[in-house]
Amino acid sequence: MKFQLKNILCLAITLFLSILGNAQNSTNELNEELPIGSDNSVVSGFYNRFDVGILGGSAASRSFNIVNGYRINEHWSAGLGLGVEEFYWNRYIPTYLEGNYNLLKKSTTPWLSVMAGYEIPTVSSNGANRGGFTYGGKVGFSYFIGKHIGITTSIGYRYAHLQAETIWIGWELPPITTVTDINRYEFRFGMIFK
Amino acid sequence: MRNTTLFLAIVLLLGACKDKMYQKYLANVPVYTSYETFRSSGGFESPRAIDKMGNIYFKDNYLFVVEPDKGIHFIDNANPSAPIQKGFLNVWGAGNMAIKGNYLYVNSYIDLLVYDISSMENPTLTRRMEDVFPTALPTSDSDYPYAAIDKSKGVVTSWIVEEVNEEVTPYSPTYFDDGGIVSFNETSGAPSISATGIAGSISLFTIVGDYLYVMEEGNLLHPFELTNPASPVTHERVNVWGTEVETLFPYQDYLFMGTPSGIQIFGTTNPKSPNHLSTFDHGRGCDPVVVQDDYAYVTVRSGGACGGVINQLDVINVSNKSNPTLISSFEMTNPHGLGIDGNLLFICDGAAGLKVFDATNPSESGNHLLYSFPSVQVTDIIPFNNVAMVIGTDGIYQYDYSVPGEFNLLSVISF
Repeated sequence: MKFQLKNILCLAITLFLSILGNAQNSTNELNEELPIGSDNSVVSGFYNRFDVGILGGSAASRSFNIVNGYRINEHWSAGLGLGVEEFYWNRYIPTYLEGNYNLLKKSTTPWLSVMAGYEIPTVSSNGANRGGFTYGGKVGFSYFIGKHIGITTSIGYRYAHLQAETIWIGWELPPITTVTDINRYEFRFGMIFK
Repeated sequence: MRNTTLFLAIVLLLGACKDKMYQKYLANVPVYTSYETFRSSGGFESPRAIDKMGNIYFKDNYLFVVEPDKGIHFIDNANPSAPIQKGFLNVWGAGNMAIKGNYLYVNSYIDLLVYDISSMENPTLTRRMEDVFPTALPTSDSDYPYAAIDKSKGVVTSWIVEEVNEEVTPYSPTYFDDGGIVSFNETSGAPSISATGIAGSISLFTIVGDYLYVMEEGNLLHPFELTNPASPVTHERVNVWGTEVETLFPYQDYLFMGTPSGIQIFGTTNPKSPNHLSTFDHGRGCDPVVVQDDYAYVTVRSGGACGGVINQLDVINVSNKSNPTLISSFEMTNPHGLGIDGNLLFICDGAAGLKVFDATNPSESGNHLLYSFPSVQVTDIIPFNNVAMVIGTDGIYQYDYSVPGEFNLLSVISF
């Protein structure tokens, strides 16, 4: 139940920010303020990206992310990401900042991205699961299929350093600290709204 | 060609993505002694103070006290009023012992040692059976788990509690592995004495006929044939399913095993491979067992590694070894070892001290307390020939019960 409430709250905040971002973009459109170029995908403004992916390697995990970002100029954008991921029976909400560099000044462009943040555990009784830092990098490709909507795919690398403490309730045994270094490649596919 | 190279490079890069899981915890970390040093140690030495209580054994007026992991104290007990410590047999990893004829058998961690004790002043090692107890380990602090053991480094002769950081497999973490701990640190006893001696009631070594039986890993009964007592022959281990045996007690041709959930009775018609005859279940607890005539006396105690909440004496009719039946139970304080000799039942009852009951009528024995010594904190007893030899945390006490109605302290060897 705790997990569900947290997730719902996170998703609600994310969706709210997404709507807010789109609303601001609409203002740009209404004012026809396209300071950088006529292609809406490369003008400055808010964007949202939803993507799903697989974090693979010696084990595989599902991953779902929502990013609310701002296109600063033709090449650079930055965003705040939230998501849901699972590593070894534990679920986490990755909360991170990402920076992107678009190689071309077009609606169809390859891009590079780096991210860093924290994996917040969804369940942590007595603070036993502490989560941990995460970072990664990706190369991807975006293709706008409409004025406001595009698809994106990427491949990259993710690292996470997760810590959890096992406490033996009712047993006189010392706690165990489990440290897991997650080393994964990731394939993602998603949609961009701008 | 270029595409193939690119493809192989990607596969290699993807293959390099491996998770790593480490577990950090305070654990018993093994301290090793090389096999050479381990097997060149020992010998019979001058008497030394007894530092820690262990199993007791009696034969031919000699009382033997096993000091866990250290060795065996030889005590001349011809005069129980004035026992004389004669020497100390230094046996690294000793826990249990048994004697047949002139040969003493004792475990030395992974080995079984055979000593000729024709001369109690000069016991001599006649045989070392190497690695017959491959999973045996020294006593340890049971509050901590065990770090992995690397046998190539030598014999584990002690433990040190420290933090370990070990890599584990993410899908099967191995923490809290007990390492197959076998602590031969508790000892049995038949109320008759002949070629073999008498042990206390908490033993993992016992002799029936021409066979020495050793309980390993809690559920493996290891028979050693003693047709030639100087040169035991090992036989296939017998699995005692579904439980962890804490004590072995021989009676006639039967083996009575005390387990946390009850007692098991094995027959030795085929001594190389004893067979299960019956199981008697009770509430969970540590439970040494002794037998006389058609009755088994079992103490069930709570706490320790056995768990449970029951503290009682059970009297069980074992006239039919295939169908033991409970005939009465009596509440106790925290009973440990026990012994019976004739009509007297002796119980080491934890904080309540040593108690002696009249067992003339076994089914009513727990109701007839004859003597109680609350100040004597003892754990095991050998009652034989009107002398009760009792071991506790602070010493060995001996009582004379030859005169009906009297129970007199003869001597104390303090630790």
